[in-house]
Amino acid sequence: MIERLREKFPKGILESSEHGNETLLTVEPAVLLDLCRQLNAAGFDYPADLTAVDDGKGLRVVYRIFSTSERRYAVLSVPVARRGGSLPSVSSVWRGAEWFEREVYDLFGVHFRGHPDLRRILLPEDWEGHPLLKE
Amino acid sequence: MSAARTEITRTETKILSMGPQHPSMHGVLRLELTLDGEVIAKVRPDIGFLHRGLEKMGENRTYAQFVPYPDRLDYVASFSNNLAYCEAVEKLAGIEVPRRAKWLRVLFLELQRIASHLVWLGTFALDLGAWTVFLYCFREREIILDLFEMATGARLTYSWNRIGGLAKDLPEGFARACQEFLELMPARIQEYDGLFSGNRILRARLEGVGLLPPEVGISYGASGPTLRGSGVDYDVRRVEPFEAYSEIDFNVATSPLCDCYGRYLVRIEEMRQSLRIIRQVLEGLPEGEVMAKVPRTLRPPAAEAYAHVESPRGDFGVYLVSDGGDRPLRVRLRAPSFCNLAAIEEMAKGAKVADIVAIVGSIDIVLGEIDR
Repeated sequence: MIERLREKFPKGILESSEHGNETLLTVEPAVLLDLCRQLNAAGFDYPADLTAVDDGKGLRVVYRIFSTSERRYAVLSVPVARRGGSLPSVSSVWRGAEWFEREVYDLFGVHFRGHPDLRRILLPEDWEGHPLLKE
Repeated sequence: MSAARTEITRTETKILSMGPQHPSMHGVLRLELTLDGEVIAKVRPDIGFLHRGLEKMGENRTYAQFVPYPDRLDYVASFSNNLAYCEAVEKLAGIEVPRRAKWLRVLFLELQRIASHLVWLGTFALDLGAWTVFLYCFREREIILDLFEMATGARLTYSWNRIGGLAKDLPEGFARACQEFLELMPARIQEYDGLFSGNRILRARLEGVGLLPPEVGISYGASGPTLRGSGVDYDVRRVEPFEAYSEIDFNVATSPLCDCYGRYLVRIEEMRQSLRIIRQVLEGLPEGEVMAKVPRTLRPPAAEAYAHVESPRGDFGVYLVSDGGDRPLRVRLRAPSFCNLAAIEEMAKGAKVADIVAIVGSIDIVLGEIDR
């Protein structure tokens, strides 16, 4: 699978590896939406998780997508800027992404372009700041 | 009616807040309903009232210090959260849990499943106006809570899983008490099912209500009985067996109905399957230790790990990122009710206000895990 994806997205996949039933990919933001559409068409239909990690050095958004037919995961790691970072929304691909992306926006401040309703989900609407960022 | 009269007669939609304080909103949930008369045009759940910042707290506690926290997420099924967290740490640090502990974890998780489904069934029936079922369910749940108290000292949030296994082995008399429970329970489940399925009003309120097509459920990331009630046989115990599940026989309960009644049928059957699993554990329980050797201050390698379990509500996952220090860089808690509740947008299409109570009830949410 990694071979096919590297062919389709020659500049988009920065790193890749296989681990048990997981295919791990580090992905350029520019190809994210297309890659997600391809994955969904290839049977990765279940958005198990969509979250972000600030490891002190940088911020990345992590997508964990499961294929219910093949029982395997595609795990995408997408680097994004800490301040003013934005990514295309994948809520048009998986409906579960809508709330997951709202939470990442709420707690990490990442903007998801094309999201139908990007607003805070856990914190009050007038809260200032994004608490899970490591300042 | 004359032309002049019909001109001034029109309908408007109205926005109504259901919750956060409401007798049948399970926990602090606010549903913003856009009503066209009695029919719901749109439902927007408003969550976050119970947000306590648990993921952030995880970054400021050592791995061992954080152990009691996940219990407080889905507090109706606390054993499952606690288990997923410990599994994630064990995966991250490469700790092998002794066989006896794996079997006991299955035992407690299944007891927890029944106890949680009893809370669900009782409150679900209560929401729909059936009092008797509620009292009967809680009567049996007391027996399970007594078992937990005998083994762990607690009734609700046990923190019994520790990194490497369980805090202690079973006490004297536990197996016998558990066996007695296994003997009386099947007849009780029959009783609940009779009261429920045999009630024409309940059936009318649930059949055809809250439809969730399977592809839509999958696209939402829904899981547990909410998804299995739409015929999708996704159960973490079967798909990615954890602890001792690969050595135990059980059926995954599904229903093709896609409605509230289908979700009810799945949970009733799951209780029966849980009894079957517990029976096998009591018969086949291996000897040995219940706790591995774990360093006092755990410093896992700089790596990531994801572990998930089948909680009574669905796919509960914990994602840990470590930088080699004594506390995690990131603790991500993936709660099944989060995605399950999002799917209400689909399930509430064309519903009436009274149906919303049945639909929310049929999803079986716990705000503690949604809001974290």
